[in-house]
Amino acid sequence: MSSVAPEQMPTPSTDGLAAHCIGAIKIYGKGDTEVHALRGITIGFPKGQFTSIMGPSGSGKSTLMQTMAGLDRLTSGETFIGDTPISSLNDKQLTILRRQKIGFIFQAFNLIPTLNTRENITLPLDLAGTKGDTSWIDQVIETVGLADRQTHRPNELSGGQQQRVAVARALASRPDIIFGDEPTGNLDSKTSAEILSFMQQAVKELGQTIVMVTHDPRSASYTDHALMLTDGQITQEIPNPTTDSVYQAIQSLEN
Amino acid sequence: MTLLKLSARNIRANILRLLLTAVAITAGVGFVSGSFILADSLSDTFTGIFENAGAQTDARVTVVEPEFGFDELTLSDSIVADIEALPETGRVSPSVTITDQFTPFVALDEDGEEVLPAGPPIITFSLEAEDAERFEGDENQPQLIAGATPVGITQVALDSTYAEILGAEVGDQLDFITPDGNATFELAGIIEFPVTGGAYFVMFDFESAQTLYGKEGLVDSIELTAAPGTDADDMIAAVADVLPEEAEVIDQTALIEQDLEGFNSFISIFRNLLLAFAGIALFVSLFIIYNTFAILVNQRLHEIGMLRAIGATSSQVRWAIVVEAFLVGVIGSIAGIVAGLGVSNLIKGGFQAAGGFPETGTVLTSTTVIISLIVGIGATTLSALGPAFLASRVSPVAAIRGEGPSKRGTRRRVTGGVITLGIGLVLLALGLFVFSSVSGVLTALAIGAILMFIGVALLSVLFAEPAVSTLGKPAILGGLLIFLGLALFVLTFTVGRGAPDSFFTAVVFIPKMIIALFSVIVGLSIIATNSRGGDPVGLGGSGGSMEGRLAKLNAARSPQRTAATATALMIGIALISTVGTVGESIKASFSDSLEGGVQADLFIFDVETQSSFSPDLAAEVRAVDGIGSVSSFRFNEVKVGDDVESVASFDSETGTSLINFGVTDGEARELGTSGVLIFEEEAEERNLAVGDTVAVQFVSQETIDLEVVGIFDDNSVLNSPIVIDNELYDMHHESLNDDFIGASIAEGADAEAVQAAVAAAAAEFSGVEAQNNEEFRADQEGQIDGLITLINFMLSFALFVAFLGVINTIVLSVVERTREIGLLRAVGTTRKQLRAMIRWEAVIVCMFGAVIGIVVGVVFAFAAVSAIPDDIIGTFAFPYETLVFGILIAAVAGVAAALFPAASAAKKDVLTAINS
Repeated sequence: MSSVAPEQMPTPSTDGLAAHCIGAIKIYGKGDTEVHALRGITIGFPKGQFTSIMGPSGSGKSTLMQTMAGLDRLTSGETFIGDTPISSLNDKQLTILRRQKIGFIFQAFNLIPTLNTRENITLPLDLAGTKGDTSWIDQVIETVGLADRQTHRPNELSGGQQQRVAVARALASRPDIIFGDEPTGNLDSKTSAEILSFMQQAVKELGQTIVMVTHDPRSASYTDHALMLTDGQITQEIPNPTTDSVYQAIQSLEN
Repeated sequence: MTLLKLSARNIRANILRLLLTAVAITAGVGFVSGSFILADSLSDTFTGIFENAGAQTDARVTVVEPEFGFDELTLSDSIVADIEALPETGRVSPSVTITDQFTPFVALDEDGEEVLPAGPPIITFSLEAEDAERFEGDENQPQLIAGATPVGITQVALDSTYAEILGAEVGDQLDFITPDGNATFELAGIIEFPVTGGAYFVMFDFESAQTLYGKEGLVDSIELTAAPGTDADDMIAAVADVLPEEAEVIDQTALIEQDLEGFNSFISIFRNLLLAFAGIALFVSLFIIYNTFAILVNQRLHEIGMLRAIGATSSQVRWAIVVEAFLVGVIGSIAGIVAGLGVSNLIKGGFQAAGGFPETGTVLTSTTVIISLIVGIGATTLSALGPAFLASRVSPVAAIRGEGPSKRGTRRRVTGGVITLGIGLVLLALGLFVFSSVSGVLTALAIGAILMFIGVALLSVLFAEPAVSTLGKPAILGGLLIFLGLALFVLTFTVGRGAPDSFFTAVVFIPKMIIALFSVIVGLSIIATNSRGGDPVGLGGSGGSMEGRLAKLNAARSPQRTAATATALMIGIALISTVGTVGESIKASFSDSLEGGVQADLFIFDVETQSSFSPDLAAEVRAVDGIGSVSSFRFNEVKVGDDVESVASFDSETGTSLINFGVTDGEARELGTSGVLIFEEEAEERNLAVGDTVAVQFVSQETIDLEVVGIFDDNSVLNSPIVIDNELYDMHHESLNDDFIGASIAEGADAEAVQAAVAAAAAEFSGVEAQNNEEFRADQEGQIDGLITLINFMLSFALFVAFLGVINTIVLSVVERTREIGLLRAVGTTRKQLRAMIRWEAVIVCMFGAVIGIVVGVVFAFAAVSAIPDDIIGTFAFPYETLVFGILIAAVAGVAAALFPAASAAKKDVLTAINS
């Protein structure tokens, strides 16, 4: 697959996709130290779906997410957010695309310590100088259960609460797609479950699109669709994954 | 050993931040070592010259230095023959010079204009052929490079610089202003001097000089060598026997000392002055070093916690930081000594450009190196002690969790701040109001000011957050910048000096206008950025653009850091405000005293050098048509009891209508040869009342009983506690030159025509000008402005160090917030927004420092003005222009300081940043 140039690819309809990439190749370093993180991936993320990207360390799952999200550039291939190819965007256009069309949930350090809960949630909107949809934001805050924590600063919140703020921020601007990089990686299982259910709810009830990188089969079980990545390539797709099916897939990979 | 390794590793890991700290030390130490180097180089050059010159002479006959008084004393030249007659003497070189005038022989160009490109002084003295011969070939001494030494009253010799300026060659006929009017001389020879000190030399032979200087039959000094085979001491003993009472003979060592005496005291004052400013710069760097280490410790808490957890004792942690500071201090100080070489050349170049500073070698003594090392390393280590102790007190667990030292510190800071500020203020008050000895006052003021600044720095933590929040509101920050920018325009063209009329004023004017314009533009851009923001979610508060809001919040995040950074700038701005305010008050007081104390319309004096001039001018002025009252004024010293006091003399018949003394008792009537006016304070001190008699001893040694005719309380014009009539002065002084002539214009006369006529009369007296009231005031104010500019130039070193400190803090903050910056970028902050955020943060911190600085400076100046007697500074005035300029400079410094950190923050890769 990696040898096929993107323009020679068959062009299926991308109407139902929130984001997709064609022939994504990412090589770090040069010469002897060259690392092939992505070896030509073509994949789409359908709208209104909760997708998980799984894979062992070094499989390229984080790279895939980062390049999809416009945080990093591909060595070759193209990434689309909606119908917009992003490789030709300059930094400013990319930044504006991120704040308008993409939401982020990181594993840790999701919040700006000087801003309170509500300010953190509306940060991307404020950066754009827009007001956003106040009733939507209120609804989001209500849903994540932070209505009574709006004026607290991050250091006054628990880890779970901080992560809920991060989820709410990702939702605040109703982005086309939300990327999560191990969003529950730092949380205990009970809090993780809470956050994941909420993300699931955001997809099912609020119609959002979420793509999440994780290495935890239990987390993957909350998603509609799991992709297994190995050595920079997609090796398996698991629709409606369960903890067991994902676990088995990992086991088979290791063998 | 391990800790040393750790310290070294830490330095390497944080090389950029520590380099910035080292630069702050380098700047401070560079100024200190530069001061020493310059003073030593000067001293070395001159000592060498005088010692070489002295080596050619065994003894010198001079007049016995009078105990007091400004009169120029001379000896009868009959003693030259007496000395020559002694068998013990070999070479006998008599000489005369003019010491009480700075422009005695100015050359004229073809149009009859005076040629004085670098200003005075012109030094004139007698020179005989043998003087030139005995130095031949010694490059440290004057060398005849063309022609011959002058012979006879028609010949002159010039130093090579002046000859070159005049374009004169040997044999040319040159016109000069002389004390007896213009005269023409033939250029006989050109002499190159190793050091001129910026002066031009005009030389005649001894006998001609006696005539030209009006010193017929007189001699100022005689240089002697012993006859071959005679011991110098024997010759001195023989010469001493033939000398009259008023003359003395000194040996070689003493004559070299005499030559160096005035010079050494000048060097020592010069050095101490430079060191005072260097000390200020160093004091500012202390705050920066402290701040850097406080931030570094804070950033390294996690590591410190881990070290503690695996068994490092708190004293080991402490030592690691102190050793790190020590190493940075060593690097910074060594670089500082090298920088000092540059600084000394910079200052030297500045003085040379401003007109006259000798060419010197560069002398770096071991004392300079040792002092610079001690000062630099000591200052760095000392300022790191606080952060080191703080680090060692952090509990291992808290540090691993990333918690800072407990907040308990704030209360202690405030208590410490109040106590320090209190002691500082008490010392300042003692210095200003109680102490009377100069050293006592200066020590109290210096230590008081240092404590006050530390106190304010500690306390500023309290209002850093609210102040920054207020300043950080875009409408306020933008509005303030626009207002101040416009204010600077308006002030410059109203109370200020307006458009430049010379290169010197243009140097200040152009940057000022640029800064004013810049502020208005920046202010507008802030408001424009803000208006596109709005307050999206009804958070209340300021609303506004997110980057502005984040900048404000970041500046308020660590009040201690903001306060420490701002303090560095605060000190510089405070001192500039103090100097500006005191200067403005002096000008206002001067203006007041001109309005109240002076009725004279014309002021006739040597504007450049304040040298005295012949009394003939006063006679000519009296003869001018349309002139009213005329009085000449002279200043000298007298002895009352055991105290030397200044005395002023004037024509009491006419002078009382020219100057208002504010007589409180008795009257300022004609004083004659027996009356005296006494300043109120002086009268109180000596317990004198009108009608009492006071014994006054004059330079002539005669003591006269004078009757107190009046007591006056306005000493602002004459500035002498004792005032007598010229008639009495004439009886007891040999030199009757005037220092100053005041004149009024008769009613109905054409003021301009009268002034022109007086000016024409004055033109014959080199350097003397006739100024009207307005010109006189402008001239005096210009001199004060010049002094303020010079002081501000020296203070700009401290501002420069503070500027480095702001860069340093911003760089550290950016490094510390790498992940935060990554996150901001990830969620959609553009590079431009990020740069704006960092820029506003720097501007807010700088303006905070400037505002405190101005408050502190003005308050201190107010105290100083209150403490200084009313007859010197009686009016308090704000230097609005300087104050506005000060704040705007701080704002611009903020923008400039953020340039590099903002650019590097914006360049950071989003992913790397967020994963760091």
